[in-house]
Amino acid sequence: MSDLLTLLRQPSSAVAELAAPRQLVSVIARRGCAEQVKARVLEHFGMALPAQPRAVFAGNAEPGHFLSGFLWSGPGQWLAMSKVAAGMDSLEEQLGELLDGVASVCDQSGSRVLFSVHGPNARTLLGKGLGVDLHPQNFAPGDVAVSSIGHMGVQLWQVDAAPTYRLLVARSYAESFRHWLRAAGG
Amino acid sequence: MNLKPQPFRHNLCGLIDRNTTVAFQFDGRTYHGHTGDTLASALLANGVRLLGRSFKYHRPRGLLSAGSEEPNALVELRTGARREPNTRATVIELFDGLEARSQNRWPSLQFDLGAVNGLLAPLFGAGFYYKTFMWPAAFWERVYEPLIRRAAGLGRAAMEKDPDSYEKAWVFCDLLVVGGGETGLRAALEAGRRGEHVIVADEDFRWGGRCLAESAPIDGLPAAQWVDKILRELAQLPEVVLMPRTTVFGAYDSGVHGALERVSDHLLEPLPGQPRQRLWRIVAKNTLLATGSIERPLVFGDNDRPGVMLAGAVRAYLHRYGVLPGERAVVYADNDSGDVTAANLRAAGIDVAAVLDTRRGASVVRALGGTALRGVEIREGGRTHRVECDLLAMSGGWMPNQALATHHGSKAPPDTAVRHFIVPKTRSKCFVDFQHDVTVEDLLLARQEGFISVEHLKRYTTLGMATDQGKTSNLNALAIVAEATGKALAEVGSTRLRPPYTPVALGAFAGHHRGRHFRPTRLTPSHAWAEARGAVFVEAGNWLRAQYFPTTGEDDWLTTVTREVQAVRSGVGLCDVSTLGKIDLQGPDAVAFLERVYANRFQSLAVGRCRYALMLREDGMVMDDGTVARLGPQRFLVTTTTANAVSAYQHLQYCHQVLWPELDVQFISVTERWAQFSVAGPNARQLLQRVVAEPMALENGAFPYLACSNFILRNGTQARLYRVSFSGELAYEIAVPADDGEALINELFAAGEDLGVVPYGTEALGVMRIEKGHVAGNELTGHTTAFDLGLQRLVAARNEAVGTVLARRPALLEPTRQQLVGLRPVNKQQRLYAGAHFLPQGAANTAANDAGYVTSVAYSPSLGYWVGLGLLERGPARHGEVLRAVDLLRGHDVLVEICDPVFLDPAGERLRV
Repeated sequence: MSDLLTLLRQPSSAVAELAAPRQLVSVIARRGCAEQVKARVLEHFGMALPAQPRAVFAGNAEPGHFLSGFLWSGPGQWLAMSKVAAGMDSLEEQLGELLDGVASVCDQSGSRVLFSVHGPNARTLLGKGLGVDLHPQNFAPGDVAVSSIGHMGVQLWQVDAAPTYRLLVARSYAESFRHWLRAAGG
Repeated sequence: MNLKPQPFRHNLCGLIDRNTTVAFQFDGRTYHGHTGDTLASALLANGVRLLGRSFKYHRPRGLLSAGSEEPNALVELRTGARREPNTRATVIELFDGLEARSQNRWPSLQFDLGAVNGLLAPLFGAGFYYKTFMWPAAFWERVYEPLIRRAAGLGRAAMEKDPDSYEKAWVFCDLLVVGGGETGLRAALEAGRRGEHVIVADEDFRWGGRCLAESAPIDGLPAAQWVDKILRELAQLPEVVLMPRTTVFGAYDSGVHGALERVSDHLLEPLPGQPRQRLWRIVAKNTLLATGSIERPLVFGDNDRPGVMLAGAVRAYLHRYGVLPGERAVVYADNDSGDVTAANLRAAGIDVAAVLDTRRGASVVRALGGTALRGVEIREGGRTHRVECDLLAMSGGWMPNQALATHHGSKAPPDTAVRHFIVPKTRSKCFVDFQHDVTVEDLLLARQEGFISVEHLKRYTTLGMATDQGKTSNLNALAIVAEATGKALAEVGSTRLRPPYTPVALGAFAGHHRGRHFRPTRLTPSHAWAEARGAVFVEAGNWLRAQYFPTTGEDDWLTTVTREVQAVRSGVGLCDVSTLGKIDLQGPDAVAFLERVYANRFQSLAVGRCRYALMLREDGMVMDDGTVARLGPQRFLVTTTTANAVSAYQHLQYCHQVLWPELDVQFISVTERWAQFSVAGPNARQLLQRVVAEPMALENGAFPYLACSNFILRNGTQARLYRVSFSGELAYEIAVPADDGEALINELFAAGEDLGVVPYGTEALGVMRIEKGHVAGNELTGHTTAFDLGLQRLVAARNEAVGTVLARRPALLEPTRQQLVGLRPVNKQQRLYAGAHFLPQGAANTAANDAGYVTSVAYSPSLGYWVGLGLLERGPARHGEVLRAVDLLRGHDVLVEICDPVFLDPAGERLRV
């Protein structure tokens, strides 16, 4: 029997604010073009765009590649992330060229802040605001959820089984979200 | 410690901790009890049986039950800011230092003047509010309501701010077991052994439920030992979570349940960092209602006297709390539990004076006594006689506790096993609903007056409408109605129980969302910059926007706003407009989509140009406005107002996903992506030239009014520039990636010092748009059409967009409609007030003469007097007419001249310079 009360009294989850990916790009497949989008991304980046709420990263983790990975954001819709700042050639331009005619591509860099919640009580802490079942049977590393916490939209994914979760939150809500984290962390 | 004895505490039985004694107060007197007691059991142990006064008649009341169904023993718990009225003494876990007071009595519980209501009872029958407080109507609010509120009501809420915190949380499970009694624990063990993720919630602080109240063993063990054994087994199952002190108060759709965990209510005050209560949303794949049963009281004269208790409660006080609820008892039942109760009482050494069973033709006519039970009048074998007693244990059998099932709409058929139902003939009051003081007489009267349906009967008599929702009274009421009408119980029907099962503090629903954090706040990219400049902020939806920027010596907002407007109109000003909704819209069918969701045309809009855009609702009313900029052949940037950003985006999604999924168009909000500033004023171009890499490109020929383009700033930042103007001045909106926003506003401010650059807020923005006659939220009320707002020319004649068809309904094009006008005071010294109504001179102040109203006003620094916008019947034809702008609420009556809504630069020359 796990004593929920004890967990809530001694939250030992580590909460951190991380540097958000330097570049974020929304990719929305054109009508009937989702398969072509997947094919071109697979060919060019070697990443299989998920049709389900999953995240896919370059390699198996999150290395410092130009393109870190994609988060499922909706049917036929993904958020591309890069840890590298836009140089002469931005991720939006690169994806725009690659997916010309099969997807609409739109730069979202700077629109989100990134938080990490990590540790044995991470689920309990997030449960104070998130209406998503994060039980390991239902939510595993690589899984993505688009939901809300305290009336603030969040897009989250699980990094590892520690567990560690990453949460993207709209930048204008950053201050309120920090307050929520502090309040929930007790 | 000099402990006062607990004269009614049994020496042996009970699950209380006799080694831990706690002190508490009731009505200012100190008593002692033990850990494991409730306030009710501890008071009984001290011989306190009078706990409160009733709602309507102020009748003395004691304990009816030993659980959450209690209708009588309602007390005020704690003091000061933590005072909580209507708390049931039967569920208050005793703690050291507890303070409680009886309520609804004056001057004291023993002697209550309000009890005179009992003598006036004939006046207070069913529906007496409706019959008595009818006329004159002028008395409804001023006399009757305060009168009723003072006389009725239960307890007083704390008036201070709640010092405690509350928390909300979600949890998910395969199986939710509601109720931790024998059934619930067995089920949890079964499911837990199968590896299911199980949550067991129980409102009590001790596991075991009903079985703790009974003397019968389970699986050969005393009940409490059996419970401990099961708990030890459950502790071995990692996927089983036990939630004590947690009431599942509501069952909702999709397996969602509301539950209240009383984290700290058993403590004097919450531990540091701990909430008082936690509101859970439990999402369960399956739910098992192991909620037990509630015992039915019997109905007889004065059946509310302190000392008349449910038999099951008597056994609970005896077995679970080790309390003797009386010294000489009469047992009265219509089922076998009467004999069990009598045996239990005798075993505890209590004298049982009589055991009456309705099945054997015996009944209680009425209870005797006032503030305490002194005896009962019994009818047996055709004879009436009296028996002295101080405890009456009654049982009308058990009703399954189906409240949560009825939340899902199931109106379970009432227990048809209500037999031998006897309502004696007596002049004494026979109570059915104890908490709301509803008697048999009330029910029969209501029926006589035509309230046949049980739902009507409920509302008219208020039976079952108290905070206990009639847990102990509903079935009796149905049985009485059934008997009176000669119907079967199932034919009478039943009323529905609603969430919450037991009262829940509003604070628990609010959780952390109180005060400033009632809802989340959105901050603009320049927020810190504005804060450093002493900006005063205003809430605009969730956003905090700079309202105005007072400088030293400015002590009223009008001075500041006037300065800001003058600075913009003569130099240049900066305003953060990042809050406008921004949508990136692309795809082969982008134009087709835009022409269906906006009333105007976009086919002709060239790449690199912007256009004002008007969004209509389906019924033809204006929904929102904004601009559409064409960034490429198939790419647009759409803006919405700040207020409607979310709803307009939802509307677009609805139109695409539901109405026209065949259109190949993709769009996404980019509001958070861009920091956007308005740069407005005659010096705007000069200022921008200092920050862009190629200054020449801003010249009128290259970048005229309503142009848009990508620019590179001198610091290398990619920017988008839109030449749009809300102020009527030469103006641009410059957008940069949000991360670069603060740097840009700093740079613009530094670069424009010699040009007289000022920051301006939403107030100056509002003043300038009123001077220019631009409509905004005050005019886009949801009741105005493009025709009303003078925007009819924008609605493309052949364009079949959402709302254009219904906007052409003849009545919406009548010239008599209230249409947009400007107004200015005849006496230029006078101030205007928004909300004032237009009335002809000399006309009476009646609704019939009302011709429209003032929507927006501002002091125009450019003109030196107040100006306003309004909606006026036949407005455009009445320019030059003098009317009154009347505000009866604030007492203003100002003569105004109706004029064109554009007060400044009607030809629009300033914005094209």
